[in-house]
Amino acid sequence: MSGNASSSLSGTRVAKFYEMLFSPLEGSTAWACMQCGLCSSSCPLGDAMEYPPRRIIAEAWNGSLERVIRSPSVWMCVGCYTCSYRCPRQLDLTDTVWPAVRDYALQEGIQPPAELRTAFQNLYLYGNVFGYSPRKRLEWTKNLEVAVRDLSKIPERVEVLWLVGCYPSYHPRNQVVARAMARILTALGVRWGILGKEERALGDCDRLFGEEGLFEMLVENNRRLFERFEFEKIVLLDPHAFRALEKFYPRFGAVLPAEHYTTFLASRLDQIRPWLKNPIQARVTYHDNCCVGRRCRCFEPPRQLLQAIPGIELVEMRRNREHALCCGGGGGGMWLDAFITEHGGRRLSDVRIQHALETGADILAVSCPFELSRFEDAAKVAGAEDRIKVRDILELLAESMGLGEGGG
Amino acid sequence: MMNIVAVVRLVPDLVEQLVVNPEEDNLDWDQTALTLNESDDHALEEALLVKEKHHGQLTVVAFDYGEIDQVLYMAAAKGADRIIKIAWPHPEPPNSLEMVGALGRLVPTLQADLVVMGCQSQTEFFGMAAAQLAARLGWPYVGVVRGVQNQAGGGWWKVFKEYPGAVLAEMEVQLPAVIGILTASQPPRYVPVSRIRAASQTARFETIDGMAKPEESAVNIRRVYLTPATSHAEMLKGTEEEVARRLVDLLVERGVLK
Amino acid sequence: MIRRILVPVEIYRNQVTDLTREVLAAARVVGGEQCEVVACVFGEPPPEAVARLQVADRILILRDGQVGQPVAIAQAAVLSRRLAQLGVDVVFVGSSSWGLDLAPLLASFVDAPLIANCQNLECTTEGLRATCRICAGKLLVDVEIGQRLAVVLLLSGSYARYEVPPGKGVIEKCEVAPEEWDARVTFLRWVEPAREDIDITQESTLVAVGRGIERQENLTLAEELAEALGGVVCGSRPVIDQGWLPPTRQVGKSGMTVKPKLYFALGISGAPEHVEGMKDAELIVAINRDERAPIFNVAHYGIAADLFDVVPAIKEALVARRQEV
Repeated sequence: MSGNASSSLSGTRVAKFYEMLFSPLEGSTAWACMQCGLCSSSCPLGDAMEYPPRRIIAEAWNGSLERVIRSPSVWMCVGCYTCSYRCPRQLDLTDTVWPAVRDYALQEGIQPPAELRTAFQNLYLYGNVFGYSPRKRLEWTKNLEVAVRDLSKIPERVEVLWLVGCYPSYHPRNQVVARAMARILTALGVRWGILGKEERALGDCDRLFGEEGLFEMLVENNRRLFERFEFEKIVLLDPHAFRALEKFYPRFGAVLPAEHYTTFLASRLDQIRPWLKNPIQARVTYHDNCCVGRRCRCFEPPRQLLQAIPGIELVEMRRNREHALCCGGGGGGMWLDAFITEHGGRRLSDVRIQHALETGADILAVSCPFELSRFEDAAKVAGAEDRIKVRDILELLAESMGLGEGGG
Repeated sequence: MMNIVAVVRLVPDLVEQLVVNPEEDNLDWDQTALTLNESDDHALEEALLVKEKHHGQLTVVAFDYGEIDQVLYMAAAKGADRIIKIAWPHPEPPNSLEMVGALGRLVPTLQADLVVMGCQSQTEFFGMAAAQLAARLGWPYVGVVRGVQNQAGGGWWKVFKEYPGAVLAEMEVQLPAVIGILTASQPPRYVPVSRIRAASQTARFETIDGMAKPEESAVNIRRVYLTPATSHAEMLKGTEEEVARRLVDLLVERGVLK
Repeated sequence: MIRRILVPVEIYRNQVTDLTREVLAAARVVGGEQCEVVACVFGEPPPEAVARLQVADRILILRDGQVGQPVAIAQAAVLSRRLAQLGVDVVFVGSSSWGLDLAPLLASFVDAPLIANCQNLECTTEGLRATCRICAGKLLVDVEIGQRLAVVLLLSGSYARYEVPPGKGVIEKCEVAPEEWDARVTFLRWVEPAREDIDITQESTLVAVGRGIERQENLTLAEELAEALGGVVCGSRPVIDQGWLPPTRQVGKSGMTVKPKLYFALGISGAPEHVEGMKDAELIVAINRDERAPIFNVAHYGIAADLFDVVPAIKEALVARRQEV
């Protein structure tokens, strides 16, 4: 269904699409593709895609995008970076080709799946994917015993501007993790602040979904917002948001020092170690998130944190580090499980939980907000909630530091 | 060429808590976030579908109140050909009578064949703009409509009026007419933000002054207040397991378990 | 002082609607004993329908020809020409699909004020007072009008349980000339939904899902609970609009009205349009993260928690209970 009566490709939109593919800002030009198919065969959903990355590029060479953008496979990429990681010609597939195709589809009036539409609408209207009021962003701090510096109310110079993120702010399961982070930062004597009700999504999800215009809007608003505050660095819980700040915001003139919490805390391990008094006697396996892990080749800091906790026996899943299997939540995947399963794919978290169970681990440790609910669901579906618990690294640290919920 | 007019309105956004003013005779409009009236969103979609199918020209009309420009850029990005803002330089949004008055003066100047708007708006209590606009114009009206079609051609159009139980009344309407839409034939289309932003650069709005006049209703407002909870459920508290067990006990006690 | 209230009667599938009966009861309650309640029927009614109108003092039947067609604009015009000579003070209309067209058109035709979304009414010496419920049920407005002809659109619910004594029930017939009928709108036929699906109005246990279910795939949660309870899944309007459930599963004002023994409301806020369709369920259990959700005003038992945590726990508790038995 196209917004225009004629289905011919509009001149400027096509030109923009081709520029993104053949003169990309990062990675090789699509002309360099050698059609080896490594991307398609590596893609965890490749066999369900009518047009996996290789075919998209082939069609782009021929200028025959009509069918590609009308195919459901346009919405099936979950942003796991496996194809980008493996491409022998270094095409920036995940961050450039996929958003380009999706952006083009949207411009041509192709309607994204309904749940994605709602997520976009909510981001646009309320600055979070849930459609909750921005005024409710501080509800996670209710009854929190440590002081919260709300910079939007009282601007002051801080060391760390902590961008809490939408899931930790609003979602009950993730709010526990937010509180753990607050307590840990305070215990370490870090001078930290948050943006309170003025915080909005950074926009990475929609950027990957192809909603470039929405991303630009969010970047502009956020850039103006950050300019009002003084801080040394930004720390984030969400690897996707970290990626947006690190890789894409500079393209809009917003160059901000940013770290994911795992690297931030790992660099302070010497300060943290004395606090880790309570042992956690458990076998723990760690799931590498895609954005900080495979994309940034950053695998050790989360493991250092876990290994510092007394009592933890760290075991690895057979697919780990750069070979980790994505949970399926990125690139819009959080909203597209039904769509993906309807079109021949499967929920990747259901597959990944089996990898975790195979290790005999008691705890599956994660460091991305999506993963918490995805893996807990997967454990339930597998009937394994008694065998394996899912915990964010922050929850485990807090517990060992005596800073857990209810002071435990 | 067919001339379609769609009217869009802003209403309080219920995502936020509503705030009543200190005099308790209105909402505190300064503290009230506004959003597009849902059935107007559907009306716009239906108007776009009619325009596309019948090669018509679509004019979108709105009162110049609040952040209506964002809504109008969205309408332009979706395909509106002409956008008219009715000047409204007042602190409170126009009421139904004022809307009917202004639209009743404007529509005849537009040579419209079809006017679509949402059949209801959540702040209406002493007027219903869609139906009463039709009466003001002396035009036919059908409301609570899902879907407007003209397969046969000619001046008769089919509309499907929603009844309970997923039943529809298939009706025929002679144009020109006002149709009050509840839901469109398909969900309101998504338009990428980049198109809305592009529209904000290129779209031209026409503003018409003096069309709208303040009007008082014969209905006097004595008090406006948030709905108090009259009765309340017995809330079950505890861990999930505790709550679940208690609930199952209750269901057994009440004899509703098979 | 209201001397005469006129209630336009909605006949649907050869029956006087429940809402019309409620509005007639409301007219009797609000008008008081001194007030004359006139039920106005468009077209010759089926005999069983007349029996349901006995609350009225006068049953005015407008006939013949097309007057019985459910074309509100034409019926409003016909009625508008007779209100003055009938000496009507107020017209009470039920807030149905038909009423939502009829009432505002009628009000405009006779240049009378309209009070819409009205949940209760009171007759005073000066005129009429009403409370209107707007903004998805979150806001109330108390209004009043002086002594003059007015049209009121009454929401269902407030007067549903009143038992009122029969009125005089005098039948009058009045001819409507064919020229009076506005032929610019015609009714062709009823379009029934495809009936291969379950009839939720016949089910004794329903598990309803609302926006809080978040994604289509989470319906399995509701389906599992329904299965454990021996019931069926249904939904509020947003879920149907998304296409996650067929229209035959919609509960609410423009969907089905259900009266099951057990009604679970999962992730449903409790907007009036939905509540209207299920408020008479015998036992209502609501689960919603927001403890201030209006659904808790209608439910008998409530759980303010994440349904994704609670529903699986309930399912397990049910399974465990069955195993004990």
